[in-house]
Amino acid sequence: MNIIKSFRRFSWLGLALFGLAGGVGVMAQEAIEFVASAPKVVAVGEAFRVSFSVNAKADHFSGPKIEGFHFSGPMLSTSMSTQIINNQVTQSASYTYNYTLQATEEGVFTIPAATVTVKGKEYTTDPVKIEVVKGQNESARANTGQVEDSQPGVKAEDLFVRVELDRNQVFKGEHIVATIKIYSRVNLARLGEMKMPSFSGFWSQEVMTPAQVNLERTNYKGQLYNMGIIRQTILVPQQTGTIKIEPFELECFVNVPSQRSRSVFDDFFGDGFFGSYETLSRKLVSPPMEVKVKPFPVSPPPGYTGAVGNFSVSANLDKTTVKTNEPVNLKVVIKGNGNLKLIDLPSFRFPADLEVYDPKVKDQIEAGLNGISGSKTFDYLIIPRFPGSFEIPSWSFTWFDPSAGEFRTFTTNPMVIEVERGENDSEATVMSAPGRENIRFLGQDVRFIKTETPRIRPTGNSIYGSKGFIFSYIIALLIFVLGILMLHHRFKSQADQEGSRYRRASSVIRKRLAKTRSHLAKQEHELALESLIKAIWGYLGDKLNMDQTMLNRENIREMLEGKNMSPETILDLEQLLDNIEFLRYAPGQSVADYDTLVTKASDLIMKIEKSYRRS
Amino acid sequence: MNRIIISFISFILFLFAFIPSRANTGEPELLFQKANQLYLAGDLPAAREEYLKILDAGLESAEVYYNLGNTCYKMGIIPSAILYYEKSLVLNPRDEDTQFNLSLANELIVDKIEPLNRFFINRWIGSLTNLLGTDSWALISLITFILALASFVIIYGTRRLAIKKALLLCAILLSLMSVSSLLLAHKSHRALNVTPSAIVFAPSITAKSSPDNSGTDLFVLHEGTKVRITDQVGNWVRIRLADGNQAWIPADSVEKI
Repeated sequence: MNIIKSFRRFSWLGLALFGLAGGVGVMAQEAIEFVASAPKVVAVGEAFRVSFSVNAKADHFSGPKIEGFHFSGPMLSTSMSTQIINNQVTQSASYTYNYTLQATEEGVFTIPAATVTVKGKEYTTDPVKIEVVKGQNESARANTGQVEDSQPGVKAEDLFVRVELDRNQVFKGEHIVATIKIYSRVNLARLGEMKMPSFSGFWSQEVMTPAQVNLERTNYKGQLYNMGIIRQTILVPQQTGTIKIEPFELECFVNVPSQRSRSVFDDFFGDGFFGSYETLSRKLVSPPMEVKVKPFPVSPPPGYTGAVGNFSVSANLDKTTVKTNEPVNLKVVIKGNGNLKLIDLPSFRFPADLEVYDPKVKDQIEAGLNGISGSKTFDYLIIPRFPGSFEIPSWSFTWFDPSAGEFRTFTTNPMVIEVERGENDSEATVMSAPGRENIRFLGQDVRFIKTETPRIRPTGNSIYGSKGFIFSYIIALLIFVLGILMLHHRFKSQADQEGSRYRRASSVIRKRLAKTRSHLAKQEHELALESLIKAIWGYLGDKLNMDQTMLNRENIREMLEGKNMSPETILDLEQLLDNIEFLRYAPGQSVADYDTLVTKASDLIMKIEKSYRRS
Repeated sequence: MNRIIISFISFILFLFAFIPSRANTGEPELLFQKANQLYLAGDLPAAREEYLKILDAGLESAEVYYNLGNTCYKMGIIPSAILYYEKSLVLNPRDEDTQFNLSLANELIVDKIEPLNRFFINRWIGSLTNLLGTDSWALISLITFILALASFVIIYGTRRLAIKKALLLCAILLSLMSVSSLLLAHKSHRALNVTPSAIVFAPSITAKSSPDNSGTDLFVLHEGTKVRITDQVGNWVRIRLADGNQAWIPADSVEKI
């Protein structure tokens, strides 16, 4: 049904196409568009066309009320096209209402809105502004161009290029839009090679490069020109002072009426009909431009890294409480308009125990006529490996706001990540082989100064080599020698003492024995025994150089053995002592016993003396 | 016998009179405290002035040199820092902090000199010498000498064989110690006074083959490098680098330790 209806509707158009389509296809009805088009700038006396197009058949068209122009119209022209792609049928139709206008005076005129009614709905165009400039006798020249054409080439004011800046006084880092334009009043054949300025001293970013230069009528200094934008570039000055922009160079090919083979035939047919044109090459150079880059009105605060523009900054953690080994994201977004591309990585001072990876940097930056705008996002991936509370210290971002002429700073609050021990943390530790890790050194510095009060002494007071040092050695040696001498003396005198006692021993005992005998003769047995014992002990004491109190039998035996006394002598001595003891406690024996004892004693002494002499 | 021992003890006490008694309240100590406070407050130039006042008064101590070295290090005057650390090590060769800071400061100088590989015994003797200062070695030598003599006296005086044997061993060991530490003291004294080390202070100095400007250029030294001065002719000193190279440089380009 739908198809049949469509057939009827477009039956006068290519029926055959639909036949080929084989009854397949869905018709796509486009949205209705109603637009007005008109040149922006016209010259007085020039005839031009204003058209209103709608892409569907209009039930009713009410044209605008045109004032300030001579006009005729509207004339309706229609065009249709049908496309079949993969059995998809697309139809488009265009209904255009054309007016032909002619300007009568200079000024800016507005063509008001036109209205159409399609299927009961009304559509309106926007009003169109048309600027009318002083007439330029192009059309006249075209008709009667004899005089003009006789002049060869193209005048400088008829064809030139310019580099236009939206402003020429900026702060360092503030953007400028440079537009390279060609202005022409001649018949431009094509553009040749071009040499772009290098824009040294600027960071530059191309905004738009049309593949084909579209010429547009424009009013330049009150004259009508065809203007084409060749290139638009955003410039960000990188230094202060006056920066020159080098000229832009362009080679153009211009069609001018041929002069050489002008014949009556050519004149008759007029310009261009039989191609009696000549193509001339012109090299165009733009006038040089200067940009004055002002320094910042105030000195930049510390930590300023060169951002200029108008920004808004945010820095957020996605989580503040995590378990160990769980990732946390820190997202820093710098949004706004300015030299976003030159913004460095944020200089966060992360706690050393957090594992922080290099941030993922995402640029969403567009260069437009308002400069460079968009956002720059830094995504930090943080993995806490240890439980605890970690504070990321505050971070500041400073930029210069050229519109306000001052620096602005955004400062984050310190962000705290609370890390709890994960459930499988111990496992993870075991997994990662050696759980212990080396201490990471964060910096190096000299060790701290000594604060304990030292012993400060005069310089160069060296003990070694000093007089006192040498003197001490000498004194030590002297005392040593003195000590040895003293000891030697003492030993000598001691030895002398011993020697005299030793020598006197035999004479002493002889006297004592004589005394014993005299006691015996007087029959004083007790006294005789007493003196005999005294004599023997005294002798032993003198001979062995021992005190009387130290003497006892064991001592004497040892000492005598030490002096190589023969065992018989020692045995005799002991027997003698035994006999004396016996007599002391059992008195009343014969006198002869006492006499033998004394004789025995004197014999023994003789023996001992002999053995001493031998040794 | 007792008299001899008493006289030895009094003699050793007499030796200790050589060491000046400690006084913490004197003017240099106050200067030291003041300089430390300035250092803590971050006013390094003022702290340096105060420390230098102590040195200008003809006084010294390892701690003053050490703190002065730290101050110069923080101020970025590396050659001075090295000089003062070296001076501190002369007085207190075993201070770990000073050794650490000196090695840090040496990281920052330009010249890198590979020390000559010395015979191991020489190396041992060298490190033994550096174990203590000259004075400590001298004192050790003197004290061991006295003890050795005392041992000999006792050996002579006693009659007991066991004591004689033990003391004889002791006395021999003490004598050896005395002689060797006297030698070490001598070596250390010589190293400081006869062939002193010095730190290059000129930012860049060309070492010549002879003690005048016409000499052949041998090598270039930069500030902070340690050299040993082996001779002096006029305003020129003969230097020896750790790698054994020798040359002449102007005397005013170095500062003796």
